[in-house]
Amino acid sequence: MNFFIKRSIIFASGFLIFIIVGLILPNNNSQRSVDYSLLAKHDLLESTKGPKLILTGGSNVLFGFNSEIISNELKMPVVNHGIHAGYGLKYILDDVLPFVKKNDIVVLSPEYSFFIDKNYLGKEPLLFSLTAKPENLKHISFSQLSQISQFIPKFSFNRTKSFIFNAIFNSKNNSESTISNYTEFAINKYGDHNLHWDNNKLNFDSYDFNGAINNDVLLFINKISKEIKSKGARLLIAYPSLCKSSFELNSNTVENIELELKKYNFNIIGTPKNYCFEDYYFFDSPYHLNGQGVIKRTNQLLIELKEVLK
Amino acid sequence: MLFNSFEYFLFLPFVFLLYWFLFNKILTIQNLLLLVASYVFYGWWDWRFLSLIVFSSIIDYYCGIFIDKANTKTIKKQWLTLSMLINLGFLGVFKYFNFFSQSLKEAFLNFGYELDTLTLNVILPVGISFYTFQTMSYTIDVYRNKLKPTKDPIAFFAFVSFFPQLVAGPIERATNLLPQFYEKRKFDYDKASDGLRQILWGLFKKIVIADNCAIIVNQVFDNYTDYNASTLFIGALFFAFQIYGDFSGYSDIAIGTARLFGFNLMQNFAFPYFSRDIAEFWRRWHISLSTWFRDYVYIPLGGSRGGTVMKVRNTFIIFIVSGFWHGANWTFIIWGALNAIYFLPLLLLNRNRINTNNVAENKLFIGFKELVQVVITFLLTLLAWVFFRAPNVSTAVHYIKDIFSASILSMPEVSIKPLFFIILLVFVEWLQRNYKHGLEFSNHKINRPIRWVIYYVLILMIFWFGAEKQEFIYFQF
Repeated sequence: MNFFIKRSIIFASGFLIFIIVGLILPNNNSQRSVDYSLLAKHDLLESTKGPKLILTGGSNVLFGFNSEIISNELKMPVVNHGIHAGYGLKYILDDVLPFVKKNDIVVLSPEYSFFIDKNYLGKEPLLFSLTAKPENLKHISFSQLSQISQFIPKFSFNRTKSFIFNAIFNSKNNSESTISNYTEFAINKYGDHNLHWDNNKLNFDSYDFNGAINNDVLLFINKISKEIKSKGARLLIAYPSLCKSSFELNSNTVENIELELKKYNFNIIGTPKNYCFEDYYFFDSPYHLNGQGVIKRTNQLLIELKEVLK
Repeated sequence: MLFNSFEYFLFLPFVFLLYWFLFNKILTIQNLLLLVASYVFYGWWDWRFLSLIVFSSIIDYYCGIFIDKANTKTIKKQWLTLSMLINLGFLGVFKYFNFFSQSLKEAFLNFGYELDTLTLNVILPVGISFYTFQTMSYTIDVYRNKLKPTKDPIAFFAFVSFFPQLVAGPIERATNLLPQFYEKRKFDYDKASDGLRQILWGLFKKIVIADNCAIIVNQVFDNYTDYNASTLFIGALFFAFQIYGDFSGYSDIAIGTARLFGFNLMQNFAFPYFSRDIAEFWRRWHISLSTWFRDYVYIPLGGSRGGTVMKVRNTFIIFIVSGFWHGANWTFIIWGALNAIYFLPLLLLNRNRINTNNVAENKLFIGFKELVQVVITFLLTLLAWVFFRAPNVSTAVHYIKDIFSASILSMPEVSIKPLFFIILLVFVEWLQRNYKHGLEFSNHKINRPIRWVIYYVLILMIFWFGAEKQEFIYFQF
């Protein structure tokens, strides 16, 4: 028996060491991914004097607004905190909460998929964010760990692969200076991803997120809403932008999510239909707006915000 | 709790250590630990499911005792009937009620009458068909005097809910599994290591084969009208390996896990896609269910002892019931009937037991004749799988019709990446076809470093190529 356990531990240790090495290897990419923009966004949230308006959510927010227009119109500083829906709503809100101060306004635009199954707990991208900001491990619950654990080995192997590849080949390409989309510096001083604003629409598939709504998500938003309120700030919920083809594919689920949200005492601004735009307003996914789409959504949000903030 | 989940990754070693180190002195305590662990495992899905399994266990525990105590055959039969009614009643309510209600409504609609039928808004408890059949085998065997009823409720409850095989089998016979709860288990290094190897092979089949195939299968079956014939063929082919990887993978994990705890479960799959005829296929596919139906339905009906009409009737009954066991949908019934049609000629010509040995026995390569037989048998099962996978009969018919078109020779319009994994699976299982599972090394002289490299490579493949986690298909049954 002891022999069996000893052997099993030795065998597992070999595997574990391999995973750990992959996790702690430094990021030697010539351009770091947009996940690392979280560091700049945190600096921005910390340094911006309040009361400020914080836009948060997944990549529909990162790719969804021109914060400069909002800031000029509302005469208040704006920070775009959105990065990736794959982090999960729980992580996104846990991450932004410490930066919320008295009289701040938090506009949350959660992706619809957050409300389905356990998506709000995050997926593989959450590991990228934790690599960018390891201190955020403190926000990770057992349920989140359970949800993302299956991705850890693959994530670690990919990091090792990328590290070796960059170590061998990238030393010659260090002169590369053009910033690409989805990289750390593809964002402007407000936190909006603006590098793609002049790019043409790319082909993308419709997104089917139909499924059963998880009530835990609503309870979680409710809890966060109360915490924000207790800080003397306000939480407003706005719907994400979604291209028409995907909207129609998921119309029942969207309707159900809207009904569920209405059951709580949330400050909801606008309706899902207000943010359902023709497909040509989108860049490379059903949630990511292009330059034109960003203006359209920003103006729509401004109309609704002005109404609420009157 | 899913076998391929983080929770199970923590749960299994925890229970294992408690079982062998802390609870190993007294057998009843060790069984109690298994019972509690099994209820935690099952309740992880939904704690409400527990009420059903507890109730079912209580009923069958007492029915077993009363059957044994009864003085007359009539009273024994009454207790058995009660047990059957309650078990099948659960299945009827939770699994089949809505199907019958809906079918009745549709039948009346065909005659112009609109019935206001009742449908139940209930969730199907995971694995209900598996543990119901397992516990029914107990009362039937007690009734048939093949087994003495147990007076140990903990052993019996642990037998009904034994977590490795609770939700998707193998469906164990009380005569095989229950006595193992009465005997003190001793840790056996070889058995436990082989159990771990079987778990690893099961995980590979589930995560690398089944889950990767599932992505393409869903894509093709959901949009089958958009694809050419070769793509539809790929969809059906991948489904054949998805369901095999999924279900036999689960069985491997279940059997391997049970071995870690000192239990022996029956083999559930014996490399069925190497079968040379349908009769052989059914001796190798879901063995625990096929033999259950053989022993508790087919033989009591007269089996193949009567005349031709009797044989045909019994064969159809057994296959259709088997199809219906899988789900309340006409697609499963037709799948069963199709297999009966495949099987009948063999039975009537008395050729259903000609291939009882292993294919290419004592040879490395398969002969031409056997290869043709294996391919034909596989293609027949493939056709039947389309019914099994399709959401309704009309989709299945159109799907099959569209496969038989000129575009079968064109390039598939979906990724064929899973084909690489399927080839690997077939290669390994071909080499291992004389063993119980793909990683059994009992007679191989492979030294440890090489074995460990094989394990590491498989683990790497599981994480590297593993697709997004999917539930096991057979949980819905």
